[in-house]
Amino acid sequence: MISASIFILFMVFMAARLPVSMAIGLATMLSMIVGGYDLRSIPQVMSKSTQSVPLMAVPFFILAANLMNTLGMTQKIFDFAASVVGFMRGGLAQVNVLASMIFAGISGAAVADAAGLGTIEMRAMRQAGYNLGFSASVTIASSTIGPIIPPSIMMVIYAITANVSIARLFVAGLLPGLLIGLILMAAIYWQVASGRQECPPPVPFSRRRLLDTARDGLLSLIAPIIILWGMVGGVVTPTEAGVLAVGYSLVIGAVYRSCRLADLVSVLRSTVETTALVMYIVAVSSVMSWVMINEGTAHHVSEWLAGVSDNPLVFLIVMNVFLLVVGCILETLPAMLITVPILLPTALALGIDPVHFGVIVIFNLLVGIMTPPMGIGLYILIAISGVGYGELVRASLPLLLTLIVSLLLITFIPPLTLYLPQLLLD
Amino acid sequence: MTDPISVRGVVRIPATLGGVVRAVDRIEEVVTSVLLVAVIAINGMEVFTRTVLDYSFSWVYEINLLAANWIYFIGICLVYYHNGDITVEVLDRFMSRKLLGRYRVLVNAVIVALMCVLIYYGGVLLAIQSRTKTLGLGVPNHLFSMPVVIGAVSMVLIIVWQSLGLWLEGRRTEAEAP
Repeated sequence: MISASIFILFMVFMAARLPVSMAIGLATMLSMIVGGYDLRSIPQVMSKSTQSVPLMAVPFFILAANLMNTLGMTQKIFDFAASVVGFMRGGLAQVNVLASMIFAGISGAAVADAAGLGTIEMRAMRQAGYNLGFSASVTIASSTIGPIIPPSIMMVIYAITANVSIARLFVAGLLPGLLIGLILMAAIYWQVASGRQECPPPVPFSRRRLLDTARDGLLSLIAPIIILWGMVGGVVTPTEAGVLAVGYSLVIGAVYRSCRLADLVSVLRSTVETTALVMYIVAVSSVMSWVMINEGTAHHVSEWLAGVSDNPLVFLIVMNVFLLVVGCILETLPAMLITVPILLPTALALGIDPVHFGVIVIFNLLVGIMTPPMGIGLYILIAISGVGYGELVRASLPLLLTLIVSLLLITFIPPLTLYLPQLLLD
Repeated sequence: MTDPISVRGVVRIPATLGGVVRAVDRIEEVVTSVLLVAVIAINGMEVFTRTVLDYSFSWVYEINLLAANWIYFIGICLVYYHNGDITVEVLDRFMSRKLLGRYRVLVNAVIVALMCVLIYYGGVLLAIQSRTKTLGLGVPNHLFSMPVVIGAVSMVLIIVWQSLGLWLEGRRTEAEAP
């Protein structure tokens, strides 16, 4: 009852224009008063929840991505991607997906992806004469890859919440991330080849251009390999990999002489703001999770689901539908922090691997951001590109279906997620 | 119609508060940025000494946690300084500018009330924690929770200042209306 009231009040407060962290905090506090809880627990749980060294990977990866954007590395990655797949049907739309996949290997924050690469992608496609709705839909669809390919802030927070290894989760995201990217590229190819989507003619392939852009972007292109090698090789922890990424970005800035003090000051502020926003949501959500644990919510949900079916496949189908609905209403991070403590115990009881479960939850909630009518990503792209809502929704539907197909593959073929962690870490 | 002179008189309050809020924002920006740089330096040093010199610093763990809490809970004030938190703005479409201004003041009042609860109970918690220290470095435990309270106080200042600005803007619009 208390848990249900938290959820309902949270939705009401969100709709009433309260900021997301305040909506969670107020809903939890009111429910705690009704439930007779001691309110001293609020600051105590908030303060305790963020005292975690693995969570410190969050500011480090945000800073690394912000540095990459500021130092011009993002543009070099985009140019390289253009020289690799720009000749394919769909031209810059294919480039958009590949660049997002490469940048995802450096950045852990969707915000940094959207602010840096998303802007470059939209500008390039608009200048080349691509349909605005199509450009926006490709940008939003490709942005879902970022938090799946390591490093990923969503994965760090899930790992802390679910008590699983961050490194294992990072490695588990590699194949699904590549799969999503390839399926998206295939879908774009099909759309253009079948004449359902008109695109400007692609730029012919040039080996010289490929070599030039590879040379220019070499230092940024090997960054994901260094970060992954450090973690998988056991040289650094995921948190320290974040420090490694920051140090490496600064070295690149020094090599290219694009590192200015004024830029660094602004990057630091922007990093602190993004980090604080994420961590404040984590802190208030922890109070909410604490109340839900005390109320035995996960146990009640588990009992209810067991009454429906004890088949893991049925659970995964029900959970995916539920999360798609939640993901299109709520922002990804609070949605994950609210749903994981409730659903994870049931998943574990049904024998579902928590790493596999985590990748499903994260990707599912990301698909939700482009699901009409409430998908938050749709509104962000409308604000960035100026495209109309109807046009964007129409253009997004084929790619949305593609993402749902990818989600089903990731859900029902566990080795896609679990093969690499078993191979590299066991 | 509102008397413009009375509006002018009220201008001083948000202007003075604005000066305080801007100064606090600047201090918070410097503190959090310095802490972030320090934490990166400390962890970078730890990676180097552990992998190259086979030596680890025992104090890195506690310093990391302490600095992190100050970055997160003070850093959130930088977000609120320019209304940066995530908000669903569906209601904006159904309200006039004037009504929206008043509604935002109401929402701000709710946030201030929530922050006041956090400050009160945070103060109670600090009093309890001030008697204990961490087992490692002996850092007083209340230093870990203190940024939650300081951040909440700073957020109250920011939100009151923003609300006064919104209210004043509404009064000015009313005064200038034909």
